[in-house]
Amino acid sequence: MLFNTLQYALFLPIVFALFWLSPQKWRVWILLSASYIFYMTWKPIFILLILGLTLGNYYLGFAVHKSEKHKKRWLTLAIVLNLGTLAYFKYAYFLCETTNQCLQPLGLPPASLPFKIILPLGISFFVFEFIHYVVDVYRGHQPIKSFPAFALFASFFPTQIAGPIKRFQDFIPQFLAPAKLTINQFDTAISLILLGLFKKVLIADNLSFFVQGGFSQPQLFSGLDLWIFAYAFAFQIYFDFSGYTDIARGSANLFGYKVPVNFNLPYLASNISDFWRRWHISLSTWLRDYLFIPLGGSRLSKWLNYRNLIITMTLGGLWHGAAMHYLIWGLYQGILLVAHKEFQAFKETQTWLKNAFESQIGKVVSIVLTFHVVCIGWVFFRAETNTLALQMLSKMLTLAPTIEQAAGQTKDVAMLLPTINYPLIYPSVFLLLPLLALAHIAMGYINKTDLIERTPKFAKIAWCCAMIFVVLVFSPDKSPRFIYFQF
Amino acid sequence: MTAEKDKPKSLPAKLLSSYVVCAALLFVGLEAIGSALNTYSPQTMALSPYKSANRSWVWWNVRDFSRLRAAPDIVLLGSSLMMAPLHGGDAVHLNSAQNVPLHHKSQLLEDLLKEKFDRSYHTFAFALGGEMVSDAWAISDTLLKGNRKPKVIIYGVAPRDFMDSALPSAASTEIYKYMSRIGDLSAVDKDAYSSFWQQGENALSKISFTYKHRPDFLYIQHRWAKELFRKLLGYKELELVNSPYHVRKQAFSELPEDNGPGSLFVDPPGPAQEPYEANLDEYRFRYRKVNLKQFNTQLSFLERLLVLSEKENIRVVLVNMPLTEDNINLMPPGFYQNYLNKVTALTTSHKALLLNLNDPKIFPQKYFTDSVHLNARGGEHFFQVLADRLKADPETAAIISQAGVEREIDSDNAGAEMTPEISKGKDPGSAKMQPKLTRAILEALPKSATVQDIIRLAGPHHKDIGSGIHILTYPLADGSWTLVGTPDMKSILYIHYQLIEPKSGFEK
Repeated sequence: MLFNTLQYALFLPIVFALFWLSPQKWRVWILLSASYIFYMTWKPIFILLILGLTLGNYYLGFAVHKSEKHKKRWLTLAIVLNLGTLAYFKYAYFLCETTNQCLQPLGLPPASLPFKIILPLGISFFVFEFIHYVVDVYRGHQPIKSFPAFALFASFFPTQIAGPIKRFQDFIPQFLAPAKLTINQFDTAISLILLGLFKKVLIADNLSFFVQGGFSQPQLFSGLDLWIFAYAFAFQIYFDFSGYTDIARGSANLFGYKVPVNFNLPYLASNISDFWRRWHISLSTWLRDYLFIPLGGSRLSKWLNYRNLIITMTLGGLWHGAAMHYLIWGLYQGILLVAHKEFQAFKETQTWLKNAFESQIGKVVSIVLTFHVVCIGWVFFRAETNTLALQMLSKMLTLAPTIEQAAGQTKDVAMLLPTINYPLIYPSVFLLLPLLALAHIAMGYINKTDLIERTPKFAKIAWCCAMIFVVLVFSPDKSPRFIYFQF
Repeated sequence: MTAEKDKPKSLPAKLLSSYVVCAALLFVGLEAIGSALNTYSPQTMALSPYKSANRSWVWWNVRDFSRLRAAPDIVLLGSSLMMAPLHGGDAVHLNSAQNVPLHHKSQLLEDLLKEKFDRSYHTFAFALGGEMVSDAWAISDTLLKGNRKPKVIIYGVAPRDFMDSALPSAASTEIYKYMSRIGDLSAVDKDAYSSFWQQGENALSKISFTYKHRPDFLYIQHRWAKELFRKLLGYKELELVNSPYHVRKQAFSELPEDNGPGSLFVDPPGPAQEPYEANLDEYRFRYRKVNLKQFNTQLSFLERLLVLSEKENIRVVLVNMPLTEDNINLMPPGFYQNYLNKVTALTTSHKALLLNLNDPKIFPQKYFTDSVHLNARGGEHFFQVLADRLKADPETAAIISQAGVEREIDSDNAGAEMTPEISKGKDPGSAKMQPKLTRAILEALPKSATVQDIIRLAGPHHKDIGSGIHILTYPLADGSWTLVGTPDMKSILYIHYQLIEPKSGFEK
């Protein structure tokens, strides 16, 4: 069930009404049942997977907690169970293909899987939540006693499919305190849902049709066009995922629960390290706490620290999808982080450079530069293969003309396409992308100044009314799935 | 005062303290106002289904049909299987490229019938890519009635029109969506919207004024956006159709259909055999599972079309379209025969005529461009066979000859009749002009050349046959012609050459 569908528009009010009309003791069960129904609307059989992992991790959590001698063994077993499940469903094909590519030069016959594997929705998210749980129990946190509360932690429908990745220490106490709904809370929740839908249907979905064209057929476009596609994708993925997160947060708020914020205006980041503190925050903090730090973090020597960064980001890239281009994207992020650390160290030794970057102009330049390196990364992320990504990047770096421009005026092609003088839907993109960038800056200002809190009621009413109108009118007939659903 | 403040609020007061609830109430109020204005003062809202943000294939057909002064004698219905011979046949017959968005008649059929019946006829084609039977019914039910009804409907059918795995429901095609804006198709909602959720969406569009009029609001938004871009950026042409067709088709296939004059041409074939492209994978997907519910639903739409035509006294000629054997072999076992039996039974019970043209002896593989579509020569052959068969059926022949008796109009003027505004434009060079240009001169032009450079070389153009953009024609010294595409009479978009004098879509 997608958030931007009529199904969800019926499902959410029904669960909301049942939840608040029921006595407190039933509420967890109502949410748990709703969450399982939500999951089963996709493929009912996979309820067994989420139930099985919930039961396994619930008991393994206790085993890790109680055992004194074999604590580590139980933890290892829990991690193997979770990562093994993820590897089977998500990476089996990838491993098989990679093995075949390695075996091919040796003349060995290619291996194939004897069965078809369907990737269960949200598996990357709930598996990471389970790993966080058992690791934290191993580190000394108390396990969750209530099974329904534990089951709901992993299956809570607003965050079930694409996060944010929750921490049980923040989430479980909210179940224990009796939930209360205030008008303010209700207003904030619905506003968040409307804002999320606005981001998804008006911006991300409409950009997606445009982006799809450029990334699937880069050979048809000029280098400048491809830069525009890369910018457009940068905004598409941001508005798609942050829109999803807003709907998830709003839906959770309707039941009195708070889930973590996942984005903090990432395109205003002044360097790549700052970007990762603002982008998909729940994932980057998870990677830091459960991968980077266990690897030794930054306490080791400089080169081991860099190794850890590259391993963490490469695996983080692979978490997004079982494909080489995600791996390359992750590796690219790791290299950028290392390069940033080196640059920081160098900058500290050069006063003029430090002063230049700390000036107002320097800050703006940093933001623009960071945005562009992130956009280059998005090319690897979005392109279907590394070959296509490299093809796009080589054209982007040379600002190569289109086939028609290159061919010039011949009797067969006979097409001249001066991109700037005679664009098609580019003018709207030329206008839209700067507007989105400005919106980004404006949101930063609004957040800083608590402008929303101080807005008069009539303005809020008008804003909400406009949101309802926009969502009803502009949602495309064929709304693409949220990008992060595939992970 | 304090006590008053501490007093618990009643539920309505509590609800009204929520800005979200107030916004919802305001929205409902605005919906009611919009609905009332549209009902009682339609000129205030000025919403029209003929105004569309995107100009799909069916939009062009409906636009030109609505401009007809009189009902056509014969209407052709069908999917791309009918569309291909229609344009291909005329491309061969007229030896000129056919401008698909603007070409809505079969000149070849008109001329063949004129020859056979010694009368002039007007045809109009609603043959559109992907047209299902439900779409054909929607077109008939909405447009082919009353004083717009034709004497004869020739409807080319094939199994795909009854069962297509690529289609979730009858109402999901662009044609059905557009026709439901023009006419009231609600009587068949149950059959047209197959899933519970689609029916829910349809119900929402009936309840909500905003949801129902989404296409109108999109049109208004597009118009405003274009105006804004013009003012801010100075662009004159912002149409999607200005992008080359192959770019749109390959890269922006997910965008709504949007076409313009000149966006797709069907060229006359050269002397060599036309190329054949095996498109079996596409049809393997379309036929991949037997969806009896969809098949029976589409059959019910065929019956509705036949009943409607009986009521309107229109002769329906169903043509079982030619297919290659490779394509038929992809269908589930027994499906083709079952389809043919059902269509035959319906045709017989409603006194329509069924012409089975699916015969490899009549249409061998050389007439196909892929496993289902006829090539240009196949199109010419198709209409020749069709005209013979129409003449051979006494009942149909009698109706066609009566149609001709009622009205004799020179069919050469049909295009002008359909689109009278073409005569408004004056072509500066329409007077006889001396050819000064040669291909060598044009090919020697630098890339930075402008229209002014060509005017300096050759004087004013002969005609401007463009609609969305300017397409200037110049005769060349060797007797051939060149077309210069320009959006603003300054920059050159393209230069094409052709042997015969180019004509606009309206002129054909």
